[in-house]
Order: sequence, then structure tokens, then C-alpha cells
Amino acid sequence: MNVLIFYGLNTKVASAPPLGKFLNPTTGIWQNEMDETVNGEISINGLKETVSVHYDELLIPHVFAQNEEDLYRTQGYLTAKHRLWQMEFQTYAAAGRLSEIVGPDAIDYDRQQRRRGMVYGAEQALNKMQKDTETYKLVEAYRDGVNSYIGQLQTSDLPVEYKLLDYEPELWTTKKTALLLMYMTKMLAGYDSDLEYTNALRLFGKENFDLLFPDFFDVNDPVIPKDTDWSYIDIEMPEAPTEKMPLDSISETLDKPHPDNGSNNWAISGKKSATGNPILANDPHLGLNLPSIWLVMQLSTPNHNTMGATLPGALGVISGFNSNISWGVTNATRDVLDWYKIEFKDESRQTYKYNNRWREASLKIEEIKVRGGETFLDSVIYTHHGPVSYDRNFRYDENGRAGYAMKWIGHIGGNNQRTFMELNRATNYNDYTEALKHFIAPAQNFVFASKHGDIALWVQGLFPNKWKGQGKFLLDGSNPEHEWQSFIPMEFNAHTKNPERGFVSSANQHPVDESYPFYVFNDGYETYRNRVINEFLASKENITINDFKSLHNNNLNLKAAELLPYIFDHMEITSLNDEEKQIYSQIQAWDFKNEIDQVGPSIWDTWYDELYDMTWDEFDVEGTALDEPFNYQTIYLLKNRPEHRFMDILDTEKQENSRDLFLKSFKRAAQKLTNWKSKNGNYYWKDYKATYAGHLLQALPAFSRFDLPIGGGRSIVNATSENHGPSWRMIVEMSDPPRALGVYPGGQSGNPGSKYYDNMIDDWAAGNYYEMHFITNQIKDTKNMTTLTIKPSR
Amino acid sequence: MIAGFVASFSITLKKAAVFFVPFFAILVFWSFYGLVLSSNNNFILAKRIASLLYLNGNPYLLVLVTGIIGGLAAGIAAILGKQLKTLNQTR
Repeated sequence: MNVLIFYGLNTKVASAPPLGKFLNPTTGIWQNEMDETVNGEISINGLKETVSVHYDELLIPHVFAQNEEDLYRTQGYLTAKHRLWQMEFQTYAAAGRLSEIVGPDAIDYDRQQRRRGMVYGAEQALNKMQKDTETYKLVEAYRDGVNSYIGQLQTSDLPVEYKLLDYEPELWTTKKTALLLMYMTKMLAGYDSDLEYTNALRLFGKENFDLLFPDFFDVNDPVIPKDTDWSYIDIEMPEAPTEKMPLDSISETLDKPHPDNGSNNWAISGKKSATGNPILANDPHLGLNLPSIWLVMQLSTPNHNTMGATLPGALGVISGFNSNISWGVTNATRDVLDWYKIEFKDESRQTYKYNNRWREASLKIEEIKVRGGETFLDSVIYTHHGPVSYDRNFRYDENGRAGYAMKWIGHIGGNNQRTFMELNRATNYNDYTEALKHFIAPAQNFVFASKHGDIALWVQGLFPNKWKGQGKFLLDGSNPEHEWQSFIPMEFNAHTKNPERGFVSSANQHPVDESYPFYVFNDGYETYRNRVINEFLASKENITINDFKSLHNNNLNLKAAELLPYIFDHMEITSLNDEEKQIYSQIQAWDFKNEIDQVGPSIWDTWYDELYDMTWDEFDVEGTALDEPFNYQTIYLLKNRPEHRFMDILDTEKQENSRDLFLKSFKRAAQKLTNWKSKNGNYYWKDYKATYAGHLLQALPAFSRFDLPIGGGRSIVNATSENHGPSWRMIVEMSDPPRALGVYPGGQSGNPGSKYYDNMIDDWAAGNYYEMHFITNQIKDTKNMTTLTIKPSR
Repeated sequence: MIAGFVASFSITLKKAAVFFVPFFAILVFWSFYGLVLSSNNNFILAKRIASLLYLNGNPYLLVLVTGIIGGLAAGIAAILGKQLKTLNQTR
């Protein structure tokens, strides 16, 4: 009996931490009740010369090294010092190894990562990086820096999450940096709906499909302005083949990245700026997590001095500025993930059909180690297209002779690490374009501003040169004409420099208008944020940093503003009861701003959700994966095709039109709101939206922050929804030296026991910013800072 | 735990004291140590861990639970030590 008690106190029982170990004050969580040490002297193995790290009041490290190798070695060390658990956990997730830490519940997730070829893609990228010896040397230095930190860790210093889950960190490898970049690539370029569209095409026919999912909306305010001249593009466009596409059916597709993953960025030229200096801004929209996705640092050598947001696990600054230029990224979505139907010769699946012959496939056996259980083995077949993600063992119920192979840009080795390192050192527009050459995926709209007065925007990624319609649906894996025939050369990617209108911007909208010669597939392009941003910038002169702050925090709900007036004009309100009348008058009084103290946004949100679901009830088909049409097109159809057959609700005898839908959905929404109100009090947007920043362990409440008082919402410039939004907000004025402001919903420390874990959240929610102390003179500019001196070990 | 085991093996105590002396000793030691570490940091982590362990976010309760768990382990180890000692003596 006694032995059992010790077993319980020192070993994990199911998902509870081993309590004795966990609460022991000499080794357990009590040891984590502190902030990181940010002064004094330490030494790191392999360092060539002394490095000075100045910490400011936000715990941002300002690193001054004498050479590149020392710089990145130190970046690795410091990133591990502040965010070790996060770095490790994210790369375990990318590699499909979560079952090793948390047990069998993660097996399905891990299988998906393996079947997506996440590790395969990381290996390809690693191969590419290794060929670039200059960059690779630095990636190795980063790795060694991380491992120096891990090497000096005592059990008592382990981050809390290790103690909670009862495991220890393993050594960092260069492959893990590649995996971290794959993690971001999946987040931003891993979305597709090809199989869902194939199902929709089969169910509704081409005419309806094209109406519901048009290549261009009737309104377009593209990233690259409309009047851009494309005549310099003289390349041959591929022609669509005449054979039909396979019209298969699938019931459940792979988990997808968050559809709102996107961002805003913009820059104004000197002539539009009150000070005459260009100003640039960037706010990436990602999941609101703790620890934050970003870690702010200043990285400096005698040759370059840069500052901004970094990604724990990768080198350099990702969204930031240096002494000469600034840059930012938004997601440039395009369909770079396609599915090919594979026909195997027989059940052994050793060969598959291609170009009227049988081509050899290869087999990879994925070993998924499971904590407290048996290793799970998953056989994944690889074709020349890519891994056969869907097959008889996973979500595809055909006989053993078929499957779907994934062709993904993420599998083509890219050296985007080099792009960021070159941007960190870039001094002008030419350096910027040179840096972009290495960037393959995830495609981004790179905004640029320099102190010399240039502003620019480049839609950069490696894009397949597709025939019209290619990749919208499932493709035929045996037909060479269905392959990606070639790629668009970088110089033909859409871009603009110093446009007439005096500003550049992007908000995940359509990159171009119809005159662009290459085929660009609309996979849900933004149609609201971009118009609000462009209207704001076009209508003002003498723009200041404060204007940029208001734009970041702009809560105008353009979507509601474009539908509600139409509804108010057309909806029949005689049958509303008293409760409903009250709610109706509340929304009629709303000014279309998603502010925290308004009830209008909550009513709109609930109502629109009901309306949307009701409109697309045809998409609720048992056993068939389908994606409903985009919001913009939904609203377009409700207003312009009110009698279309899709307006009908299938379950009812009556043939509804859009007016009926408005009323029915309103009544349902009113009911929901009334219920909510009786349990929770009045539905002010702050309480209704209930924005939260969740800890990476599925928003463990003890380590998360809830009920953040911030407005905004989807398709609004302040794109903050329930658990998603501006994960970093940066504004940089290109004065000499540059002046930068930044903030993010979290804190520099990954330790929930530190006051720097979440200290910036309140300011972020309130729309405040912090001065980013860009140190140019180590003696003058470091007055209120502590210094950690890092020396080479003997 | 080891301390409790060894101490009890070496120092003879009677009956209930075998359990309760080490129990209270470690309870006080662990509680006090945890309290000092945590109050230096304004109980930031203790409040979070207390809410994780269903203690309503009360850091003092966590301190107490910590003490009790440590005490229990020590007390039981001591009993084990005493039993072993008794076994030794009867040979």
C-alpha cells in the first residue's frame, strides 16, 4: 500500500500531474515562481566574442554581437531561455509527435501531420538549406545556442509545462527549425477546399457552382492596383485539357488551418505623410495563444541593426525593420495545394497508373510513439505527386486500389530562412527584391518602405502556372496534362512600386484584377477589410502615426453595413412579437461599429449566422464534405437573386425567397439572444464575443486569459474574433533612425509564473502601443535597461 | 521522503509519533518554503496552479495542500522505516 502511494505521487496518473513531484518546493512548480534573470554574466560554448544583451522594461532583449554566428547563437539561447517549452511543443506538433507527450488522444492529429508530409517537407527544406552553406552555418549556430541553454537546465528550472506533463526537453536540431517553418507554412498555405468543391460540383452542377464560387466577385479592390500594366508578361499560358476530372465523393477531409489566418499591412509614401517620412504598418492575424506566437527582439552586429517580431525556432526578425527599411507580411493565399486521384494496379499498392504505364510508388512506415501505449504504425504511400494522404486506412472508404495524393508547395524545399536573414540586412529596394527570390511558401504579400522614400508591395511565393480552373477540383493523377506544368517566374509575380495613389496595402484580398494574365483562383479572398483600409488611406493626406493607430483599431463592420439596410427595406416585420420588436429596434439603431459596449454587433453576429446556415441548408448533406460559399457572394445573392432556388429551405413545403429567410433567421436569432441574456445578462459585444488568449495546451484555463475587452471581429480591420486576431501590431516611421511602435496580446516570457507572461494584453485590448526602443547607441540608449553579458566559455 | 525513512530507521519513536512527527515536520517545511518562494513573486504562479488543481485560485490553500502532500509522503516513509527497523530487531 505504501509503495502505491509513492507511485501515485511520483508518476503521472492519466492526465493529472504527478503531485508529489509537482508540488515539491525544491524541484516543482514553486521554483518557477520568478522572472528570468536578465543581468549579470554568463558564458555560452562556441561563442567567438562577447555579446551584450540589454533588456528593457518589457523584457525585450536587445542583442549586440560582433559577428553573425554569435548573433544567431545568442538568438537561439535567448529564445530557449524565454520560450523553450513553446518552441519544442510546436515542433513536436508539426512533426506529428504529440502522442509521445500526451498519449493516445493525439494519434489522429499526429496521423494527419504525417500524411500531410510535414516531416517530408521539412526534410526537403533542410536539404535546400544545407546546400546554402552560409545560411546553414548560422542555422547550426542557432541550434547550438538552444542546446547550450538546455544543457545547463536543472530539473528545478524546467518550465512549468514540462512539470505538468512530466517530461523533459530533447535537444534542438536544424530539422526542428525546418519543422517550425513548416508549421507556419501549414498555418498559412495549408488551406484548400478542392475535395469539397468536387462534391459540390457533382451535387449542384457547373452553372450553380460558378454562380456560388465565382473567380472574381463583382467588386474588387485588389492588392496590386487595378491600373497596373501587365504587358511585360510575355510567357505562354497553359491550356486546359479536354478530358473530364474525376468526380469522386468524400465524406470527411483533413483538419484545416483557421480560415481567418491572414493579416493587414500597408505603407504610405512620403508625400502622403505629415512628416514627409514613409510609414509602414503590419498586423498578422493568427490564433491568440499564450505564449504568444511572436517574440520581440533587437538583433545587431556592426553590419546591420534590426528589430521586430521573431518566431521562436526560426532565425532573424520576421516582421520588423532595420536602420534603412521596414517590411511586413500578409498571407497571399492562392490554391497551392491540389489533390490527385491515384489508381493502384492492385491491393499491394506498389505501382500506380501514370501516363498509361504503371509507375513505382514508395512506402513510408510512420512510427507514432504513444506515451503509455503501443507505437502506432501508419503506412503512407508516396507517389511522384506527393503522399497519398487519403487511402483505405484513412478517411477514404473505397477499395484498397485508390487514394488521393497531395501536391503541395510545402513539399518543395524552400530556403525562406534566407529571405528573412537578407531582409534583416537589406538597405534598399534592390536588396528587398533579392531577398524575396528565395521565398517559396507560404506566399506572402511583402510590404516595404525605405527611409530613401520608396514603398512597394510584392506578392511573393512560388506559384504554379495553372490552366484556367486547374486545381479547383480533384485532378487525375494518371494524366500528365493535369500536373503543374511550370511555375510563374518571380518577376511576373504581381507587384507594385511607388504607385500613383501614394500607398500600398494588402488584407488577403484578390491580388489582382481580371487583366492579370495568370490564372488566380479565388479561395475565399477578403472583400471587406481591404476596402475599408484603401478608402481610409485614399481619402486622407498628411497621415500620421495616430491615423495608423486608429486604422488598426477600426471597428467598422462593412459587411453588416452592406446587408442590413437592404434587409430593413425588405423584411416583413408585422409578425414580430414584443421581444423581437425590441431587438429589431436595437439593431436598427446600430451604427455598424463593432464596439465593446454595443449590442448591435451581437445581434448582427447571431442573426447573420442563422441566415447563412439557413441559406445554405443544401450544403448539409450526410456523409459528404462540403464548404459553403463565401460571405461576400452569399450577401450578393441574397440581394441580387432573392428568388434563386438556393433561397428555399429544403425541409419546408413552402418555396422561400430571401425575404422569408431574413424573417425566419431573425426570429431564431432573437430566441438565442433572449436565452443568452437570461443566463448572462445583456449581450454587449465584449461579453458576447468573449475574446480570449488560450494557452497552447488547448486553452488550459489556469494559463489563459479570458473576457478581453476588445471590439472588432471577422472581416473588420480590427480583426479580433473569439480566439483569433492581430497577434502583433507594428507601426514604423522611416525617419533616421526609424521610430517604431509595437504591441501583442501576451508577454515576452513563456513562464506562467512571470509577470511578463501576459503583461501586454490589457494595453493591446485597449488599442495602446509601446515604443520599441531601437538602440543605435549602446551607451546613450540603454539608460533604463539591465545588461546580460554573454562571454565565450574558456 | 528519504529523510523520513532514514530518520525513522535510526531514531526510535513511539506509536503515533512515528507518523505525525515527520508529517508535521515536512508539512511545515514544504509549506513555509513554498510560501516564501511564492510571496516573493506576488503569488503569480501559485494562483494559477491553485486554479488548475481545483482550489479556486487560492494560493494559501495550495500552500497547505503542498504541505499535506509532502507530510503524507514523509509520514508514510517513516512508518516504512520503523517497520523495517522492527523487522531487523526481531531477527
